[in-house]
Amino acid sequence: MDRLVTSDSLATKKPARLATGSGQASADSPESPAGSHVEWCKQLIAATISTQLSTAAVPDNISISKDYRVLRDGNKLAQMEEAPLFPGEAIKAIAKDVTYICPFIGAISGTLTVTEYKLYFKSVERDPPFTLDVPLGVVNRIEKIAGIQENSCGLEIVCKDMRNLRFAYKQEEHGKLEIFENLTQFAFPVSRNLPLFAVKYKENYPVQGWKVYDPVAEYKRQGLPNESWAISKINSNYELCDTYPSVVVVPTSVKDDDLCRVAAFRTRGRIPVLSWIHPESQATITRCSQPMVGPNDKRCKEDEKYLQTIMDANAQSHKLIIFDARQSSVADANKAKGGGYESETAYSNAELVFLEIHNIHVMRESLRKLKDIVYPVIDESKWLSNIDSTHWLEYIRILLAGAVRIADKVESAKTSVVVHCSDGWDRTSQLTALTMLILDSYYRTIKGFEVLIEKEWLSFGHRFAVRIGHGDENHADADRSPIFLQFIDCVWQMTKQFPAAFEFNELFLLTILDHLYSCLFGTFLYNCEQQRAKEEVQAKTVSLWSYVNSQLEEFTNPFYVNYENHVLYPVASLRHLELWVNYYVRWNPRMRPQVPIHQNCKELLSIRAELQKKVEELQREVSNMAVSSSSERASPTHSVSPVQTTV
Amino acid sequence: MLSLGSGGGKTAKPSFVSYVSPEEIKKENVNDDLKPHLLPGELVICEANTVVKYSREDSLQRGFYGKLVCTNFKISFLSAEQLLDEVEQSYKNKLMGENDISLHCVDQIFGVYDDKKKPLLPGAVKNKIPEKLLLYCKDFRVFHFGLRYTKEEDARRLIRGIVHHCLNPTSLKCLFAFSYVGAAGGLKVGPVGIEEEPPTIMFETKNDWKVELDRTGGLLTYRIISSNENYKISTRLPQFFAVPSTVADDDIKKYKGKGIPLWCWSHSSGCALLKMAALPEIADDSTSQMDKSWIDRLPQLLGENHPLDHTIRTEILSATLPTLQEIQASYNRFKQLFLPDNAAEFWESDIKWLSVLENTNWLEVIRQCLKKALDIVECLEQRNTSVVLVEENCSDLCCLIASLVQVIIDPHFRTLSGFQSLIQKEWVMGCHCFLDRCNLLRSNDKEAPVFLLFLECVWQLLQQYPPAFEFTETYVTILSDSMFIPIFSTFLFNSPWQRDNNQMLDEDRRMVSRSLKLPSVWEWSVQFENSVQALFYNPLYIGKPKMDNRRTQRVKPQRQMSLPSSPSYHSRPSPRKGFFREETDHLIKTFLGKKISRWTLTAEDHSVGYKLFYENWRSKPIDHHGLLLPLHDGPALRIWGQRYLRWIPEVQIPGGGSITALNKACEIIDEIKTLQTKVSQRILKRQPSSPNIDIFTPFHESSRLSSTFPFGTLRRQSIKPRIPVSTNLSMSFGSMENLPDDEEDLVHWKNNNFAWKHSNLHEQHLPFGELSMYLDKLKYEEFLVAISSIFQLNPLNMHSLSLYKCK
Repeated sequence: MDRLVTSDSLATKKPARLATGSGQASADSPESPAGSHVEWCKQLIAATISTQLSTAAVPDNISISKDYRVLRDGNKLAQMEEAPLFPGEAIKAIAKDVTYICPFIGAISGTLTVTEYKLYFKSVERDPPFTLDVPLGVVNRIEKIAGIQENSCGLEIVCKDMRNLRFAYKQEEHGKLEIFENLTQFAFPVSRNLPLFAVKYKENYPVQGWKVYDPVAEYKRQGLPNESWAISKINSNYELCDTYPSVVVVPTSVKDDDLCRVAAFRTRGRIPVLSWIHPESQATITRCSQPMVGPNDKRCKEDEKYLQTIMDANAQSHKLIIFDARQSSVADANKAKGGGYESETAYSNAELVFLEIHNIHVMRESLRKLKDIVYPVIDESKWLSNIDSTHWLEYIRILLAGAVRIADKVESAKTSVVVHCSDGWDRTSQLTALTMLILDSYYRTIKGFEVLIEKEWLSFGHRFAVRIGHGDENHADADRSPIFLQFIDCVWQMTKQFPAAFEFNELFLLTILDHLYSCLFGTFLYNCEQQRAKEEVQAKTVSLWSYVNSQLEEFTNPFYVNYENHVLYPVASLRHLELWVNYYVRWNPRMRPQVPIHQNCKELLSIRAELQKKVEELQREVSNMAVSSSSERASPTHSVSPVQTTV
Repeated sequence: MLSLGSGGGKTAKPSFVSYVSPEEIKKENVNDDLKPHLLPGELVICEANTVVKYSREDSLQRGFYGKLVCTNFKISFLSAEQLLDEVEQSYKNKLMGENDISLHCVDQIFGVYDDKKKPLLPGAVKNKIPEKLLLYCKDFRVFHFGLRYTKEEDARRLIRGIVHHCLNPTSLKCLFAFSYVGAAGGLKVGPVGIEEEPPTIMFETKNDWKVELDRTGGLLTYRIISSNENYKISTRLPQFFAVPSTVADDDIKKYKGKGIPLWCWSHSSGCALLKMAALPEIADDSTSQMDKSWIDRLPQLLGENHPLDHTIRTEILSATLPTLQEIQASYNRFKQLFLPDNAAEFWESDIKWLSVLENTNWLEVIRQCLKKALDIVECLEQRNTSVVLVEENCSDLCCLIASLVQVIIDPHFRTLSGFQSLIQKEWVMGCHCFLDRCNLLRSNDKEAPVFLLFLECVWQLLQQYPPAFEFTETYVTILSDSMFIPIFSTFLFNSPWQRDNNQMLDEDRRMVSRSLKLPSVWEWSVQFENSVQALFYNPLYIGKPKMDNRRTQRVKPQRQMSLPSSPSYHSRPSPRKGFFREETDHLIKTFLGKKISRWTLTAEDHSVGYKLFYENWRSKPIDHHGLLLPLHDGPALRIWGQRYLRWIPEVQIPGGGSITALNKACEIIDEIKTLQTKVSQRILKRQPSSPNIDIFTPFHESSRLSSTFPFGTLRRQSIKPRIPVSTNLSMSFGSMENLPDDEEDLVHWKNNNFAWKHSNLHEQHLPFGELSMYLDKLKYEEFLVAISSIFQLNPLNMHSLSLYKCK
């Protein structure tokens, strides 16, 4: 459904879709400006502002002051509505008597504060006070709506996390643009050559998150190096492949020269390297980018031999299965652009399987549609068909089904697999990470999952900066896509199907997604390991895992049971997949869970811990006593009569 | 193990592979010794040998040879082979085995002729023998029986027998229950196994009603009518019931109880929930005058009952809820979604699943019921308004909404015995036509899943607020299955009168002893061993915090909700037109007329309050012993997976499902109990106990459970991943090629079948409730108090602990 946008104040309905930002391709715009809402917003603004004008006699409706202390001393209300700050965070602008137009509870008047990190709105009008705390990193687009009345204006903030915020305020001559300008400046620092807030954030956590992932230790856990696979230093200066990690695992027998030739044949030099090895069968998961076959079916002997070596490293199977994540038609089309796929004639013993997963643009469009149906209102009678029409769950299903197929080949057929898409950093990361989650219970622990993200996503160069658009105002950038969100959604689906198999809880996943956008931590900044090293991310910023690992009890699933050595195949059927309401619809107060069941269990766990302590204590005391007075032992021993629990 | 012999199984066409060749079977005739397990009064009607039961898990390519028997009670498949392969089930019904289908449970019968599926209908059975016989059950099992190797004569007779006995119209007296109870003679009913505590109230005696009136505080304003003893007044009323105390016996006699508000439940504030059958259509004017004067008196009758001035609202259910026909049509569409024949069909339908589901409208029907109940609850809770539910016969939607409202408001009905009592009170004594609605006589025209719809609504609540219910979804699922086992008096009759009339065998009524009564479904020991009954109890149930919190807690806090109470009906303005939008409804026209509308609230008045009330309630923490308002937004309503998906192998999640979390929770609770025991032992004995008292009993590994627990079976194929077979994919990809070869695996699965952690129901169940009542307290201080009260074995122990510490 096309939405209407009214770019002028006349508010007349125009059937055409108008681009509001910089010139953009309409088909692929990530966010269609929610025009009908704008219309509605204007009406509300008009209504609220006029009532405010008639009732409130305060002359300076909007006070903006850089020196907020002056304001704080002088104004009790503002004091109460002041924003709490992180270490390193500073207030940039404050506006009083701003109206937040909440789609759920109506217009609320309060104080809006803009800091380098967040937008903070608080109203003490309500009990309990209403607050809105939005990291500027989630802002996708800010639009100013010209006033219906001369001195009032509205702000529409479109967010990356499935919500839009609307404010209305009265403008004063001297501070006309301050809120708006501060917002745009700190929401899009990269576009203005300013640093992201992550480098200013100065919190000390007891745990050092940057130490979570050590590639050599992780490969050692997997039993590597072994006689077939070696940890190679060939990419230590990112010369072989600038988007790959410095530490890669390749077959021992392949010479560096050959690796370079293989790199020349693979898009962006992303050669097949090992991601995971089965502890028993030695079947491996290797990942790479597409071969540059091109329209003339070019071949590369070294590449063919290389894949043969990968197959030979696993004695259990005489086949190698290449999973191409793309649709076969798209893979064909890529040939024209110099890419392509492995032909089964050139690669003997290899079997090629297309997983038919759509590209990043399709996923972006799907999420955009999803936002339309969940925010702000839900049509309850059309809920299911609306979800169906976004195809979001269908894409989740295809992705999970793909991972299950790969895992099944590795586990049951004991066959080594190669996974790639075009560049090998989007769908490939999704698939390898999900497959590893299915196969290896280690990745289902908190620490293991952090390692999984660090390894399969961050070190292998999923382009977070480009896909998310950290601090970048170009909201129509066609490279943005919710690929990582989709992966986390798949993980959530798995936790729903196996509620006891994951050490982490839903909050953990929500926290990861929130900080994917927030730019508070350095974890998801930049596109690849090389860039992060160059920017000294580890030295300058805090890791998200520092925050998480400093309060693990918050993120622990009380039902966790270690399914050691168990392969967990999720059921990739829409009968089981459901929309992640606690993420996508969480801004709707009616969707908020009241008391989640795990709360009970968490309390039980702490009761158990208390009791365990008590038992130990008593045991110690008893044994002390037993040593000191042996006379008491005369009474009949070892009678374990069950003690009545009183009702 | 036989299943390994045939190997492969990766045949593309359904040329089946069996474990034993048909020739072998014929030679040995092994199945001749197989005798069906017959109940008292059960007779074999026909049978056929060398029938193949195809296994759904094997993509219908393999199966077992055996004998198919049709009795006057069930269709039963018996196989010597299968016994070997049978995986021990945690769920076992004493009356019905895994391969037994009660005749009433059969929903549709198809024959496969030349790969084409054709329905088999009574009177239209062809002479030609189908290759396959497909049975679709009301509990969503699907059976595929191959008849290719069956003797033609036997097959023909069998098919006719099955079709005739399953689908032909029959009479009440022919139902199996009567031969069963007749043959059983002194059938052991009553306390065979565990006796439930407290018992289910059957509402068959005056005292039962008195107890309930007393419990809800309605004793002063309502009185029990016993003038219908032996159904003297009406056969559509129970022998005893309660009405406003101002209603005279003569008023009841006048229209055989129609037009009289019958008491359902009293709120602690004094208002009440009532239901009423519409008056019959009025023929001439003189009587209609009299009726009107009677109708005029009604509000006074109800109003005078109460010391408080309060309003009354009549709710005509047919005006806003779907009709029975719509409910039936919706369910018919819905159930079809859960009967896929094979994997390909399943995955095919998976692509458009959400839209198809929405088109059945079933979730919308549930939503409307929940909303209606919410609306009534708001009247009772918030507006201090009594509600009279009106329906033509007062025995369908009235039962549903009345009982749903009570589950929402009164925590008593969320206990197991309370819930059963509620079904007795509102459904059985409310004269719900189970016989007609379940279509037990196969007459087809009155079928409607009204009771099932109620269970659906309860299930929705249950999954929204798991700790608030003493019973589990397994209990609800099993209850829904029990509707199709035609033995229980609960679901067999259209009214208590019909039941009593039929149970008294022959004319000599006095001679019938109690023991000849049909069992009630609540006598669970008829169907299940204690180990299965233990699955009925929710280990996370938060027990009652106080002995009687109903009276003490409820009144005050609820009244504090800040809405102005509505004005009394005297000052009520005339209703707006919108109220009578369904002008066509004869019921409204004839019964209500303008007079009654004077004291009804209008629909508009009311919807605003209900929203605010709902939002207000939502913004507060949940009291699992207070109100439990159902969520009804799009995402809140779900598919009752345990009931509908349990037999579909494609959706089974081995090692998963919410049961795994529950299992862990039980484990934690058990550990706490053990620790608690240890602590108290130490304190009491003051001696070092043996260092290795390990009271921990090994729990089942969650990885051995499955999402369909306790139904379905985890056979070896289930361990394999389910991979969508999509027509879109060019590659065919099955998981059949990699059967696990190690025997160990299977043995492991067998040995680790889940058995609920209750050796004795009472001992285990009660402490759970007791412990879990500490769990919903959120504050840490309260939590500390809770811990200390876990220790409070008695005050002396605490004392001795402190003394002990002083040393």
